[in-house]
Amino acid sequence: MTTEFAPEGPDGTGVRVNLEQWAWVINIYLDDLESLLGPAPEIPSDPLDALAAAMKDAPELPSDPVRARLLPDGVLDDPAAALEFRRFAQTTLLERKRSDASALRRAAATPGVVDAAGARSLMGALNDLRLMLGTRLGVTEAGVLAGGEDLQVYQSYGLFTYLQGLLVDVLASDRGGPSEGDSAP
Amino acid sequence: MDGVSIAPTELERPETDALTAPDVPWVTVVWNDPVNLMTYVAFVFQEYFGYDRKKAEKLMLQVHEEGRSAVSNGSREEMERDVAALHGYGLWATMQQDR
Repeated sequence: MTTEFAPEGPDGTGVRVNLEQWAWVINIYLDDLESLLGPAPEIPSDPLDALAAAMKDAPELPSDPVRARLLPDGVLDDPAAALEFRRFAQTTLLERKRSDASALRRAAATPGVVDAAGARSLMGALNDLRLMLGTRLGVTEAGVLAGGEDLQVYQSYGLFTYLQGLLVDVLASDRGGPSEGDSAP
Repeated sequence: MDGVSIAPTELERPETDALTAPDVPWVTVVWNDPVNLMTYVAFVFQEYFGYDRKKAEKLMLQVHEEGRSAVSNGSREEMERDVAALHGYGLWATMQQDR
């Protein structure tokens, strides 16, 4: 059985990806995630219009708990500052999440090698999938609340946890290798 | 009263003090989240902040055990950047003034 993620290349910064066997389940939840994120807005070619559009698209903390977790407030207890932060950051955050989701969809379709930046995108999308399902399942420190959630959601959350853990291990292992030599503080 | 508005020029700087009152530092706080993997959180601290593994794991454990940890500090603009980046990684981060 081939592993889903393995270090690749002499410097170990690439990652060999083989998610073919999971593509069907990844795609189900990517569809879900992408519909939560909404379509990418048309960006007006005039930079001023683009800026105006970005300013207009500055909503409050989303009422849907999953969207609220994906797009959290950046400032607590100060609605004006929270809104200002959202104006500044939300468009970019949404773009990143959409682009990570597309990257995972492509990678799941065809086994291959991604570079370090590509691996970060896959990590981001796997994390978003886990945030989405974890929020829906009501995951707490104590574990998953049993609440009649569909078994497939529960198992898929477990799958994405496994995949993300594996990818973290692969990426962290090329971070200077065994780090017993961490320089003294 | 009209006379009041004829402010002497030396008032200009004191009036801006509240805005420039600098160096009341801001901090970025990462909050505990039951979904994010502990290894992932430590990885993000290493990758984004460039912290060594020991420091990253210490901060991660603080988040996990105490519910939150101040992971960086600096100007408001710098903290906006850090919070936005951490949201990009999917961590739950906020910024606040360190009082």
